[in-house]
Amino acid sequence: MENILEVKNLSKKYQDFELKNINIALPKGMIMGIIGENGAGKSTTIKSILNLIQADKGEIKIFGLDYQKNETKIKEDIGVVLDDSFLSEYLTPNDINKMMKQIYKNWDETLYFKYIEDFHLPKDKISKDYSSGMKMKLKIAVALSHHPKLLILDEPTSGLDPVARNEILDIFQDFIQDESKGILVSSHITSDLEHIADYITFINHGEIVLSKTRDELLENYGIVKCSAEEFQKIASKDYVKYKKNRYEYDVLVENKFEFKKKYDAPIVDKPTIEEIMLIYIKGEK
Amino acid sequence: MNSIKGLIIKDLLQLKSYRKTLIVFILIFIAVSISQESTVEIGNMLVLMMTLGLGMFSIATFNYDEMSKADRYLLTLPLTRKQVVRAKYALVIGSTIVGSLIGIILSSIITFVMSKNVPNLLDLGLMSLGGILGIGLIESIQIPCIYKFGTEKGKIQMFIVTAGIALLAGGLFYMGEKANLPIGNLFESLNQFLPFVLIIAVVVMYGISYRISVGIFSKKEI
Repeated sequence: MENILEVKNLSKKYQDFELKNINIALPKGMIMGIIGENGAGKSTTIKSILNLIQADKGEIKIFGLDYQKNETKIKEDIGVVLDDSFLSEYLTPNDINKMMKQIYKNWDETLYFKYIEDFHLPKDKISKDYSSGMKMKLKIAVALSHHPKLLILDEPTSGLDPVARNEILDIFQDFIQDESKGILVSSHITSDLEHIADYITFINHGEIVLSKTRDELLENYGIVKCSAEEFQKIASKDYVKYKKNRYEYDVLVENKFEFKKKYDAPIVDKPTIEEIMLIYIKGEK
Repeated sequence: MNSIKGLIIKDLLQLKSYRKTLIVFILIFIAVSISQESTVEIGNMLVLMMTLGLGMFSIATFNYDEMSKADRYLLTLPLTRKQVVRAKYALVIGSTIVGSLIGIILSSIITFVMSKNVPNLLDLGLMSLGGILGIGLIESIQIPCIYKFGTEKGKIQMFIVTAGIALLAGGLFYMGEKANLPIGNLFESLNQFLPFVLIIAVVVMYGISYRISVGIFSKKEI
């Protein structure tokens, strides 16, 4: 499968934080979700990919082209939504159209106003008067209206109510129907990614701790709930991490079928991505 | 070129919320100018105020960009960092020139209406060049400071840099006089070529300032 985005050994060192050897490969037609707690390095990864911050080392290829050497050309074909940054709130959708049609060669005015209408956004109202959901929809409308091949989205659903979140996730799923496209999306709302992502990449303290397909995670991983006595019988190599609760242990295992066979455990729960993330972060080995 | 046009359109559209304020300012400028005693003073005052006023006005777009962290978003669009800086300079210089032209037109009309005299366009042109030099000096220092420190801290840094330059220039002038260097003669001889000297000074100032801003913005982590 051809990769639409490839990141190799991306590293960036700050005084108090380090992004260490990030490797990402996003095949065409797929959505990759980057998860991790706040401050884990999700946004730094996205900013480094977009060259907003200068990485200390690493190689980034988008559409098979070196990003550093072909930045402007590549940016014609990517749509970006950033959680904390956009155009001035004193601009209306009409104003944004006037600006963007000068900037993007492929800007599709008709498509843009279709999105604006579909999202029920008033064309002549400054976005300062919009709700958080409307502001996010405006960012997404702008990101989609030049027919991008790749969407890079940083926390596109944060701060939104469940209805707005759902609508936005539907838009991304519509976008990916064309299998030549791809989406890289970061979120700390793991349930959103559980719905739409094909791949999950989990970043913790600036490092990728796991990167797998969603199905592999949800179908193979398991959580064993057991007593302290039962936990003592489990070999360290047979679990990923465990979390000690008041009355029981939550033990995360990588292959629940093998575990069941080996330990004759009748019940191994199917974990959510959030549970996997929590045990990785809070658990011990 | 279209990309720069797009960025300038963005800034002009942002400034439209200032439309009423701008009209009020122009009316105040006219009122203050008319209160002057002679029509020559009226003309000069209006040209100067319009040039300075509109020049400073465009600097407000930096505040809009900072509030929405627009620079970060703009760099995800098919734009280079150099284009983002170039568009700002084009806007600032353009609005300063437009301000001086509006000033010349308004003061010509007012002079004609009040005294029935045809205004001295050469004088007004020189006054507007002086205004452009003044605002150009402020902007040339202010814009790199904004790129380096942001709009708030940039103001403080600008005052420090301006005061530093003024002290340095004053010091050099004082030392020159003490050393009996013919500084006065130098200024007198320059006076003959005043329009050219002013134009060259403005171009050099903005040129140096632009290069510094590009250098700062190219390395900036956004």
